[in-house]
Order: sequence, then structure tokens, then C-alpha cells
Amino acid sequence: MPHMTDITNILSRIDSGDPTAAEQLLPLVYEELRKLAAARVAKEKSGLTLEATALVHEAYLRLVDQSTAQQWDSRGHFFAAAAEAMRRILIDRARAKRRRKHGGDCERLDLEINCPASHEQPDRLLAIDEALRRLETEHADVAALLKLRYFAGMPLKDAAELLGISPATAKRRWAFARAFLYGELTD
Amino acid sequence: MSDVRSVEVCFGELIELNSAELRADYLRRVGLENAILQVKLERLLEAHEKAGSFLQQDSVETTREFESENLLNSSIGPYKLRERLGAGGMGVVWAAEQRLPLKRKVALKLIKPGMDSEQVIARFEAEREALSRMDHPHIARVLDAGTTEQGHPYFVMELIRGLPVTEYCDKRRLTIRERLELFTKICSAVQHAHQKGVIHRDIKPSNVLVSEQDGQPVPKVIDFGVAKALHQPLTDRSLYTGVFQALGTLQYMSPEQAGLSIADVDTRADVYGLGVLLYELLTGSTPSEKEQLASAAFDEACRMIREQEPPKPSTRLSTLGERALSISETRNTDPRQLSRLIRGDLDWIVTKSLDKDRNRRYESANSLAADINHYINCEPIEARPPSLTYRLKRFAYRNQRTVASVMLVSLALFSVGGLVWQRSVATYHQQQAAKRDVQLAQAITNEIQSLILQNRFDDAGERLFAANEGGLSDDTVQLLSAQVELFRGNFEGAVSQLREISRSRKDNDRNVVPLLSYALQRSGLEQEHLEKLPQLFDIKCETFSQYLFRGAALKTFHSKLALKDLEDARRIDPTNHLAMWLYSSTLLTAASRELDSTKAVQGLDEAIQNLDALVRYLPDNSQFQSDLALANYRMSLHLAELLKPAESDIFANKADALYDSLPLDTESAYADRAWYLLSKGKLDLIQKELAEAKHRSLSGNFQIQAAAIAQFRMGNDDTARALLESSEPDYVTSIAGIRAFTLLEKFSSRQELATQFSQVVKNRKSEPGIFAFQDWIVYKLAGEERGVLDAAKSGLTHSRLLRRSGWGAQAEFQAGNCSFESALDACEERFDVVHTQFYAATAELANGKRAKAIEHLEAVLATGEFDVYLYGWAQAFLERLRADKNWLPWLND
Repeated sequence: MPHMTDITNILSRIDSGDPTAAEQLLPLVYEELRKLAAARVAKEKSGLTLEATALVHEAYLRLVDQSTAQQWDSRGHFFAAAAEAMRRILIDRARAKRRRKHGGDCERLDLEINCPASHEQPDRLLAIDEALRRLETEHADVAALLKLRYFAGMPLKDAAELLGISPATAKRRWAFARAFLYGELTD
Repeated sequence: MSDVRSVEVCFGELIELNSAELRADYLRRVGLENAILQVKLERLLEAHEKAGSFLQQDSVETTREFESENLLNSSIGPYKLRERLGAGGMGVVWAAEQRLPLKRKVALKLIKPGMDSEQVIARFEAEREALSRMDHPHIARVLDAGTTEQGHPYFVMELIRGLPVTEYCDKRRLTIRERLELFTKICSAVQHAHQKGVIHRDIKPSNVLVSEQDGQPVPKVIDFGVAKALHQPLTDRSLYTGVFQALGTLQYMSPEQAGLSIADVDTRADVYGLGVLLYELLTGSTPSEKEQLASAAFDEACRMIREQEPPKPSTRLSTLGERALSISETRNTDPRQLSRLIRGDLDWIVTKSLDKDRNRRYESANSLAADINHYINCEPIEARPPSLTYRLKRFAYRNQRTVASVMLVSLALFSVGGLVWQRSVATYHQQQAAKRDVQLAQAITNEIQSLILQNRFDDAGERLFAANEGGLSDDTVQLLSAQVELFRGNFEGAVSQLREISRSRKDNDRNVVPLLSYALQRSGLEQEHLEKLPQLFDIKCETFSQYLFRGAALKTFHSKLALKDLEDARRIDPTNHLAMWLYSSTLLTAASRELDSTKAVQGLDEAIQNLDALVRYLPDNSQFQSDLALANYRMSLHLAELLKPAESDIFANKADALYDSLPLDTESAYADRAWYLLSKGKLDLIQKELAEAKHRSLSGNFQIQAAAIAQFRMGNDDTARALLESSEPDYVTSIAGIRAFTLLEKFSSRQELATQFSQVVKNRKSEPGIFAFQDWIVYKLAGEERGVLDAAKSGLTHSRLLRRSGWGAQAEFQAGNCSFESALDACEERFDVVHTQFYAATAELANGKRAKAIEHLEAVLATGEFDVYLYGWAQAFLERLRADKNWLPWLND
């Protein structure tokens, strides 16, 4: 398990503009989210549904030293990483589900994570994710918002605060993201 | 709106605009400065409108919540929900209890999530006062509207416990007569609303509830004001897709509501709605059947409503088969009697209510009811079978009526004012009569041209015949009939008809010459066409057709002048589709000649927009699709030139898709597709489709030439030549030079080629005109410089088109007067570049310099102008030169 200070340290390095720091953050958060989820499964019966939002918030509380990281900025960095991590987890699951459907290896998938993305059919989610990659290269800001909402289940208002943008801008970006992805999927 | 502004910001601004017009206007303004941005925004907007609840899973949750019973006993404003009455496409209806300011039971209609509540309520408020003025025993009053805490709009109305009218009638087995009596009550309710300034817009059985009082059926029309409030702007195609699918009212929608343009819906839309209701009460089915509409794409369904004439009620009954029995049973009769009851007067009454042209419907709900009462009382009805002759007469009659009423007023003044008036009244009358003729002629012109564009030539002919009987002048009929023949592909017939008219009507050049000149050009009679040009320029155009056909005639000669005329024609009649198409295809021509890609992109952009609209409107016309495909293809070429590969790919893909799905139903569709296939190297498919076209008698010179090139590319020179010789005789003569290509392998020396070819040229009866360039290419290959110069001279003397194009410069180059580079510089159009590069390639070949020749041929292909036929030959030459290092050994001698 990564130490709290590691993460807080990375966050402050991201804040001061260290480009390598963000890369280090993601695997740590990813690992933590998986562990958190696994711990739940071990404890409870199968068929459990976890709220993605609750999961990332818990990871934040566990990983980030609250006394030293009170600025919104570092929260934003953390949640952006968490959203990306959630995305990978969900995409991995979608791939596994699809494999299972095609008679491939059978992974235990008794834990459900609830967020908007988890309502999609696996094939479609993978297609959305592919379109999202294009959105990321062309409109990184928009993609960041989309990931927070779609994979981390953040309400639009909270996502706007985390990204330091106005609710109006968030609303506009959300509409843009939907139109962009929808257009990509239907072309 | 500069490039600096991001697509994201512009998109935000765009979707803030709440009407389709404002959005279209915004896009247009963006397009003026940045066509690519415009394209991006259009795509995004389209996606935005179609996206529905995409990615918004939370709204699914909301809907589930909303539809459930959980709301029982909860309060919405001053209303407490007491009983769930039912759910429809657009929401859930509850019986509710109002406590303040007075205690009463009401119906509360809770609208599904997905509507813009603010706008819904604003539209409702705008009509609230008019709604409050309505007071009629058969109208359920709408009492209130508001928004729930979750933001869903709701409507409150008088609580009616009844059945939808059709259901009630069937359940009680009401006879036709009883149904008609009930129906006239509904008419009176609608009439009352109209008098108070309220249009319903969504009349359908579920909005007419019937309950019983003292054993008598009492209909109540509900939802007045609701449809209007829920209406999204109609022009907003995708938006209203959602709404109407939700409302499920497609089969009750009037043609004007299903239109492409902004519909100024008036009371006659309700008359139409009543007509549909009557149809259903009589036959048990709607004029456009629900299943049929449901299986069609939304646009197609709208088009059906706008254009498809429904069967008369009695005809529908006769096609119902087994269902007829149960339908007549619920009407307390048997199928034969039912059919007899409906055939005739009731057929006509329904048909008149359902006329596509609202001017020909009953002018009010009252007059519809009055005609039904005539029927019930066995009096003669107002409705008449709507034959075309009758409709034309009505048209003329309507106009005469205005003349007559003007006359009455004038005469009254005359008795006061004396003789002066008499003269001015007479003049006025004449002017009005002339104006009436013009109006009638334009209306028929639009009708005929619209049929032409739907390839319904026989129908067009029939309509013309009837129009003539209805009083349309012979002159106009002749001109229109020539147009029908021209677009049918009967060039010879059209030209001879027009020549005839031109001879007999010396004074009427303005009307005949532009059309004749266009017909000559379409017929390939270039020389004669060009001779008409000076006359064309002298004409002072005034009417729509004069501008339209002068523009059309100038299209290939001078596309910029042509565009001006076509713009004028469109200004006179912006609704005419032929004008829209000719304008767009001329834009396409102008853009293809444009060497400046930035300018070309602008023109193509407009062309694509127009053609897109035309394809949507008349999806069966392959010419529009083919033009749209070419426009997209050209757009991709120019964008590639502007170093925008991603955008270029978008258009290229769209072009491919369009060519792949091009409906092959005309000669030119087959030809356009063949040249496209040729450029893609799909040679087998070309042969296959040629066989198919021949079988359907739709093969033409251009498709044949593409097939010949395909054979030539495969090394089958004899087959290629045989194909070329199967073209029309005149055309075979014209392409003597090209035919010579298929003989090249047979010759053993340049000398032989030169001798044989001069023989062909000598035997030719007429000058080759614009085709002279083929001659000089062949002579060049043969190393016969004398022949090259003669051919160039002949071309330049006899073909004005050749002279004014870049080929003039090319002739200079041949004569050794200028370098190849300056000849190329002098090319003003892209297809000049094709010819000049091709010629340079033959010159190098003649010198035995294969590598250089290959470079020039590659330069031809770089233009991408695949519909210029030397492009096809260049591709073929290139392949043969590459495949065989020793192709045409005699060239090396």
C-alpha cells in the first residue's frame, strides 16, 4: 500500500508543475481503488454494488493527508487520477465480460461498481471509451470533465468545483462531450 | 467569429440559441469565415440533437421514479395526486385533488423528463389568456400549468372520465350516422376554440374523450394548449423526432406540420386532424397507417404524410380483408353495406378535409360539419372529387374571384367618380388578368418541375394535358412539355419541339431561346449551343423561367454568370427545387474549375448544404445523390490541398458512402457510378453494371466509355473498341481520337498510325469541335506535327468553348510558342490541367521518354478530377506503361 505521504508528496509535485508526477499518481490510485473494492467483496456477500463516488472519496480520505492537502487544486488532481483509474477498472471489466460472453476465461465478477458508465453494455462501453480517447487528444479539458462524471460518478456541480470551472462552463462542456462522443459513435 | 474561438465555445453558444432558425443563422455566419468550423459544428449539433439520454444514465433513474406509483398521495403544487389514470407517450395522467383556492378534482398530466420545461411553460403562458376565454360544453378546460420540483412540466385540466372517441364508438357499436352526429359535435368544439384564437394541433382519438350523460354520448376535446406548449420548433428535425415519437401523433399530423420549412400552422391543420379522425371513425384505420409509418425512417414518414395521397375511405375498406368484418360489426352493419354507405359523398368529404394543400380543405371546422349535415340530410354536398382539372379550375376561379370583388369595389367608386374610373378599371382588370396568368403558370411550372425531379414524366405529361384543359395557355404548355422531354432524356424530341416553337413565335425569344440553348447543350450539340450564346446575353430576363434556363444554358460555358442568373431565379421563386438543384450543381461546376482551394471550399460548402436538403426532400432522385457525392469528393480534394487531411477524409468517406448507395435508376446515375468505380479500379463491377444498365435500356455513351477504359486497362483493346463503337453513331464519330487508343498496339510504326488516323479524320463529315483535342493528342503520338497544328487550329476556330478554356494556351504550346510551364500557368481550370498534362505526356511518349511521360500522367491523377474522361485514359495509360516496359515498341523507333 502506498504511504499517505507518498501520495500527498506527488500531489504537491503535480501542483508545482512536475510533469512526471501525474504519471506516478495513477498506478497508486488504481491500486488503492482495486484493493478497496476487493476488501469489500471479501467482507460482504456477492452481488454487492459499490457506488463509484463513494469509492473514490474513500480512497481520497485514505491516501491523502488532509492536514497538508487542503487546496482544491490537489483534490482536483487526485480525483482526475481517480476517475482515470475508475475508467481503467471499468474498461477491464467490460473486456472481461465480453470475453466471458464469447466463452473466454471466466473471471469472478460479483462486485458491481455503480456509476453512469456501468449501465452500458460492455461492447458499447468499449466503443465509448475508444471515442473518448479521441476526445482526450482533441479536447483534454472536456474529457477530464466527462471522466469525472461518467466513471467516477461525480455530480456535475462537484466536478465543476474540482476542475475549478464555473457550473455554466461545466454544463457546456458536458453537452459538448455528449455530442462529440455520440457523433463519433454514430458516424 | 474568428478561427481563434474554439469549437467548444462556439458549440456552447450555438446550443444556447433556442430556435432552429437562429441556429442555422449562427452556422451560416460561422461558415462565412470558417467552413470547416461550420461543418464540425453542424455535426456536433446533429449529434447533440439526436443524443437523447446518451451517457445520462441518471435520467433513466429519474424516468423510472417518475413513472412509478410512488407518487401516489404526493403533492405537486396545490394538487395532491390521488389516482393514476394512465400513461401515454408523453407522460402520466393522474386524478388529483386541488385544495386551494377551491377544492375540486382535476386531471394532472405530468410530462416525461426530456423536455425543456422553461420553454414549455413559457409557450403555455403565452396562450393562457386565449385558453381562458374558451367556454364550450365539448371542451375540457385546461386550468393550470407548472413545473414540479424535479423540473418536469405538468398541466392541470378538467377531469373527464371517458373513453377515446374511437374506442367508445366501437364499444357501443355506433352506426355511421351516429358517429357522424357525434363527430359534428367535436367539430363545433374545435370551431369554438378557433374563434377564440386557439388551435389544438394534436387532434386524435385519445384527445377526444366521450362520457355519457343521460345515456347520451358527450364528447370532450382535451389538451387544448398542450400540444402547442410541448411543441419544439418544427424545423428542428431531430428535436421534434423525439417529441412526436413521444406523442405518437405522426399519423394524425397535417402535411404542413410534417414539412421541412417552418410551418405556420393555422386552424386548417385542425381541419386536417378532424379529417383523420373522421377517416378512422368510418374505416377503423388512419389514412397513413400506423404500421407503415412506424416502419419508415422518420424523414420518410414525414415525406409520406406530405406527399402520399391516402386511399379514399371506401378504397381502404375494400383492402382490409378479414378485418372488414369486425369493423363493420362495430358499426352495426356488414362490409358491403358499409362500403356502399361511405363510397361517394363521404369519400369526398374526407378527401377534401385531408387535402395536402390546406387552401383546398374546408376552410373551417364548421364548414366540414355543415357538409356532414348536408350528407345526413341528403342534400348536395360541397366537396367534389378533386380531379386535377377541377383543381386547376378552382385555382383560376379563386383568382377570378379576387378580380371580381375588386371590380365590384371599383364599380362602386365609378358611379361617383365618372368616366376616368372606367378606363382605369379596365386597365386594372387587364393587369389582374395578366397577373393571374402569370401566377397560374408559375404554380403549374412548379408542379411540373417537381414531378420532373421525381422522374414522374408520364404524370407530368398528364398534368400538363389537364392544365391545358383547365385554361393554361398553349405557349406555356409547349414550353413545359419540352422540359418534360428534355429531362426524360429525349433530347432530340425536346430540341425539335423547341425549334418548332421558336420558328412559330418570333416575338417570344425571351421564353424560348434560353430553354432551347440549354436543351442544345444537354443534347451535346455544342456548336449550335454556342451560336445561341450572343443572343442569350442580349436577352433581358424578367421571369423565373427565363432566368432559370439562361443560367442553366450558361452553366458549362461561364459558371459564374450562370450562378448570377440562377440566383435571380431563386429570388423570384425560392421554393422551386429545379432552381435549387441547377444552382447547386452549377456551384459544383464552378468549384471544380476553381484552382484556389479556399474559394472552392466555400462554393462546395453551399452546394453540399443545398444538395443535402434536396436529397432529404426527394430521396428518390439519384441525380441529387450523385451530385452530392461528387461535391463531397471534390471537397475532400480541396481540403487535402489545404493540408487538412482529417477533414478531407471525412468528406472522402461520405463521398464513398454516397457512391456506394447511389440508386441506379437513370442513365446518368449509371454513368456517374461507372466513372467513380473506374477511379477506384473496380473494373469487374463496371462490366457488371453496364450489362445491367443495357438490360434496363439505361446505358449511355459515358457509361460505355468508362467500361471501354476498364477493358483497355485489362489489355482487352478489341473489346474496348467494340464497346466504344456501340455508342450512339454521332458520338462514335466524335470520339475517333479515343477509339484510336484501342488500335495503338496493332500498329507497327508511327507512320501507320498517322496514315490511318488522317483517313478517319478526312472521312469525318463534320468538324470535331471541342473534340479536336483528341485529334492533336493522336497526331502527337504519331509524331505528325502538321496534324497537331491543324487539329489545334480547327478546334480553336470551331469551338468557342475550346478557345476560351486553357486549351487555347495549350495550342500555343503545341505551336511551340510557349513553354509547357507557361501553358500550365495559363490553365484557369482544373480540368484544363488534366488535358494539358495528358498532352505533355503524349508529347514525351512520342519522344520515347517514358519516365517523363509517366510523371505527367501522375500529375493528371493528382488533380483527382475523375469525371473528366482523359483522367480515366491517363490512369489506363499509366497502368499499361508500368506493366509493360516495352508497351508500344514503335514509339522507340
